[in-house]
Amino acid sequence: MATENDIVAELAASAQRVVADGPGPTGARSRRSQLPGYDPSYLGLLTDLGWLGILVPEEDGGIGLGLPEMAAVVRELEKGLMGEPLLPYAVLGARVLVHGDGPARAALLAQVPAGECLAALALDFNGALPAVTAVPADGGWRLSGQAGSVVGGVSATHLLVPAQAADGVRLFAVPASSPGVTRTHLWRADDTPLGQVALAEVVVGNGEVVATPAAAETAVARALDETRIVAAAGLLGLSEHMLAMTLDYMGVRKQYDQLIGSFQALQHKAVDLYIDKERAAAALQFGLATGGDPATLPLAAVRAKGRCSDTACRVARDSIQLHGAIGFTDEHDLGLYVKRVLTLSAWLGNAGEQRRRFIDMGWALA
Amino acid sequence: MSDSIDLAELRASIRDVLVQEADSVRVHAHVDRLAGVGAGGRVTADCFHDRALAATVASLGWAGLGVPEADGGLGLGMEALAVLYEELGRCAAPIPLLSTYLAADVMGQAPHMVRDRWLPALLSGEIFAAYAPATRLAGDRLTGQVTHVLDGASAGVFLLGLKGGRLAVVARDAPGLTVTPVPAVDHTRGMAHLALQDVAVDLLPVPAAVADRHAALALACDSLGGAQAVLEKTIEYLKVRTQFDQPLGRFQALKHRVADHKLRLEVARSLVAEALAAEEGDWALGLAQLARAGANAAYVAIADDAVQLHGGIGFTWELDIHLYLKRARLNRGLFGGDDSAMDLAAAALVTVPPAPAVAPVAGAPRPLDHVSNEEAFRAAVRAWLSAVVPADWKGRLLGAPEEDYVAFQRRWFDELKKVGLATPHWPKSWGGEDLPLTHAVILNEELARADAPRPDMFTVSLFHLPATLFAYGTPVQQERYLTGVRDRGEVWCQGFSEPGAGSDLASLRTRAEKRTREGGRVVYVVNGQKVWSSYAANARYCLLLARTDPQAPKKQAGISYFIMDMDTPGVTCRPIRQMNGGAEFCELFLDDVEIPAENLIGAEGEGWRIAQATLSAERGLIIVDLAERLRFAMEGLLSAAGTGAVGWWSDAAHRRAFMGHYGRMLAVRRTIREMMAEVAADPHMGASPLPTYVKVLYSELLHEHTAFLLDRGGPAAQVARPRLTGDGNQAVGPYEAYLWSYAWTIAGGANEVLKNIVAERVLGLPR
Repeated sequence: MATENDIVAELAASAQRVVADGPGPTGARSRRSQLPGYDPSYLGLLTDLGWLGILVPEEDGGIGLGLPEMAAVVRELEKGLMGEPLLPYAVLGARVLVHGDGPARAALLAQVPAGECLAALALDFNGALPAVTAVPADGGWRLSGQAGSVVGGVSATHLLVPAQAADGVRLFAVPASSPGVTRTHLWRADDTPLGQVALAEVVVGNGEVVATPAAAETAVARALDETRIVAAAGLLGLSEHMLAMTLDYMGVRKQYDQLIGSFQALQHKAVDLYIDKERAAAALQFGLATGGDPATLPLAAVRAKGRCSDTACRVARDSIQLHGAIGFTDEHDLGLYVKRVLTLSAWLGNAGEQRRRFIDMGWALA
Repeated sequence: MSDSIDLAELRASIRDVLVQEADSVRVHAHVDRLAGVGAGGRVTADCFHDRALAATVASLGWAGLGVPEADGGLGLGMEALAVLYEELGRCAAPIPLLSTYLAADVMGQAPHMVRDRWLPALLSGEIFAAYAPATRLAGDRLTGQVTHVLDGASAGVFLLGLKGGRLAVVARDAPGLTVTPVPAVDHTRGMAHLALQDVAVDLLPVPAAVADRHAALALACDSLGGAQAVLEKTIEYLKVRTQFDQPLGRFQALKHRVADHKLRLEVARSLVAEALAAEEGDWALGLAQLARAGANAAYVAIADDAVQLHGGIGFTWELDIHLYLKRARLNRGLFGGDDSAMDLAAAALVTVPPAPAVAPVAGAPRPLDHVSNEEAFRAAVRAWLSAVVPADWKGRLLGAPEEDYVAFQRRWFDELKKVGLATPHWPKSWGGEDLPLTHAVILNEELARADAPRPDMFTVSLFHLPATLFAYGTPVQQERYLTGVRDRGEVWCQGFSEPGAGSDLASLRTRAEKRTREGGRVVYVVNGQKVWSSYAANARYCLLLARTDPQAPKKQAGISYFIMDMDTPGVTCRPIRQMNGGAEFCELFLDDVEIPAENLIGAEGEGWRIAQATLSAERGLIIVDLAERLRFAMEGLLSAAGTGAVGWWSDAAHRRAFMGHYGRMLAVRRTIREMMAEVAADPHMGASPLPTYVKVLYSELLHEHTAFLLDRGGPAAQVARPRLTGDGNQAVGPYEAYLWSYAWTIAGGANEVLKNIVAERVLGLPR
């Protein structure tokens, strides 16, 4: 029987093959400022590979693997700038559904592995719950409000909308085509879309409830933390890739008749980046080891996302500097990775934000 | 006053005394005694200062340096005391002068009764004093504890900061006061705990802010002196210690570290100078705290690394390094500690209105009619700018096509030209205004304050070209090309860097071969490729470096300098799209481009020398403008923070980080002024390291600060927006500014290369 580690290694190897066969940075370049921000045929490939169902429990029709397996896949895919749309749909959306307790949960979850349900969580612009209200109407609900940050929102089949009702927050799965739903988008700094959703008196039935007030806020919080850990894996993959690109360049670029990699000050800089990357890998490992337990999940997420964001930003910064002017050009792929890092590290809270959460959670004083 | 004495002379005379009376042997002996070395580690001393040194100092009258003459002092002010504190820090002198002279400064401003009682004794060296800032005590009869008072064990009188910002004085032998000496790990100083039981004190009408400012500046100077000394000792060691058959100082990784330390020290020095020059009030108080935190941070960073750079011997008791390390660590924790210094600085500086007002001037005066007086000139420039700068110029250029930017640049150039401000720094003989450098600096400050457009497309035309041709051009070249810029706004670009020759510019390979064509016409045929040529796509001419002699013994010697017409057949220009979205940099492909021989600047083989001499033009007034823009952006943020409009301001870590950036900005600004003063004295600046310091310091600050703002911006900063077409220096928003900052850390010699230069040419480490 395959051990957990074997499965992780196998998935990582498959993801490496996907990246090797994929369009890589060229694809990312051609998708800039293009909707939906990913190649639809790539979504088909992810479906065929079964990866949309990695985080869906077996009893709900998925593969029922855990965060370590998904993290291994995303870590490799980000090296080819191919982490989307796995992150919004198969991680964040899927996990919100998993943690739900409402009638809509089972049917939608069953459609996730086949790519029939692409559920995107609606948040406000700063990552908090959106300003959406739910009032009872005709045996169902009427939703109104705005959600400023819905990654994956432009091509989602369902919008997972946490809405404030009189008795607490309820989580609804709103079909994206519902009357009253308006979807627009902004462009993120890496030229991928950030969905924006406005709901005007959108009528949904009780059957669309994914989570009741007893579970909704916890479901969202847990899914966000789980996603932070997987995003951290993506950031680690990006760090590894940028560092590899930089070391390669230092091995070919000559100045003063020497490979720049032979200059000791640059060697030390590269070693510092390597150490930092190892430290991030350890934080991710901690996150994966403790992320399965709801009691330690928030700490796991804070640590992994905070550290991996910091590291990726630092590796990005120094990689440009070590490449010199060529790294500043748009033609060079490094810039694509740097911008992906800036986008992904900011998504669901950058390093500073994770530290703030850590303090707010009270651990700093414990 | 202070201008009547030579501070350098004062410094030399103080140092002369201290190298005798507080040399390493003496300080070590004192430290050994206090640490109980040779006495089984038993600490017996409760006198933490060196008595013999104290006796010498008392005979020298240093105490009176800062005290007004009427009070029996020398009346030289804080500037002179700063020199003394720095020199005391330099030798880690075990004597509580800082606390004592601080008290003397305060007592000098106190009513007669208090002053007459204490000042003579403090000045004569009969007693020492100690200062405990911001205690929780209040009233004129005090009960409570004050712990860890610096120099408290030696003090005969205590100055206490009370609640509400008042100061109190109490004698050591006052009934109810118990003083318990507390040794410090830094054995060059000591502390004491005070227990007060209904102790009667004299309340002073002098605000505690006076003592706090003095304490902050004194501590900053002590750190500056110590940091300088420990860095010098470390550099000397790197020169003599051999490992792997080489002096340690030859290892590049170590060179970069000490170069960074040197730059830290320069920042601290500038910041302290800035704080010393500040007038009274919140501004002065805030700067003093900022200087203290900055100097202490530099001292700690340098002393920490000094141990590591010395290796095992740095860990021994015998060496001086640990004395400095311990003194640095204590300095950082004194008077409430450096975090509180940053907080005090933040509190003092958010309330300061940053703009010095000028008398309003009606209409749009011609600024050059007002050069007789600097303030009038400033006022006229400000009025003129408010009349001519289109309020929405940035809005119009957001996402605008390149042509609009070019047209706008031309319009702005013409606007400047109309009033003589396109070429004000040129000599009158060339249609310039011979504007004094002081005025050119004012002009650039006001351009920045108004957030006016920068004539960026004309940078080479306005700065490099004239700097080159005034010195090295033929009369025909001067007439033809300077007139072209002045009258027709001709755009020039530079063809220096190549794909294989970036920071290592001298390895350039573009070849220029001399040929004689029919009719005896002599030309240079140029082949090669150039890169990073700003605005080449819009340029009429190019200042080109090419190799005329590939056999020259030194590669620099084979390079010549040409004027190249961009319309010459064989010149192909391709813009490079940059990662920030802009495309002002271009690649140039040169295929059999014929340049007439009369377009050679200087002689063959002189290109490198000429280019080096004129490159500094790039870093003069341009950087004045940019540093001012950074200043106004930061001060805008400070004012906003003062009104509660900056969300992250309440977060102490972020606030302190920002204040650190603000201090560095003020320091860079001061270094730029010093550089400009050097330019005024010697336009080619000889071997001055200041342009190198300025480039590294400005670019690293810009980079860290924009990254900081990007992180604070949250998701809003991540939204893609139309960028300002053209000049990356006027980027709108933190993301754009952050990406652009790489243009500064990489271009003009990557910072890594400049750090080698600092290490080798300034610090004297072996090549």
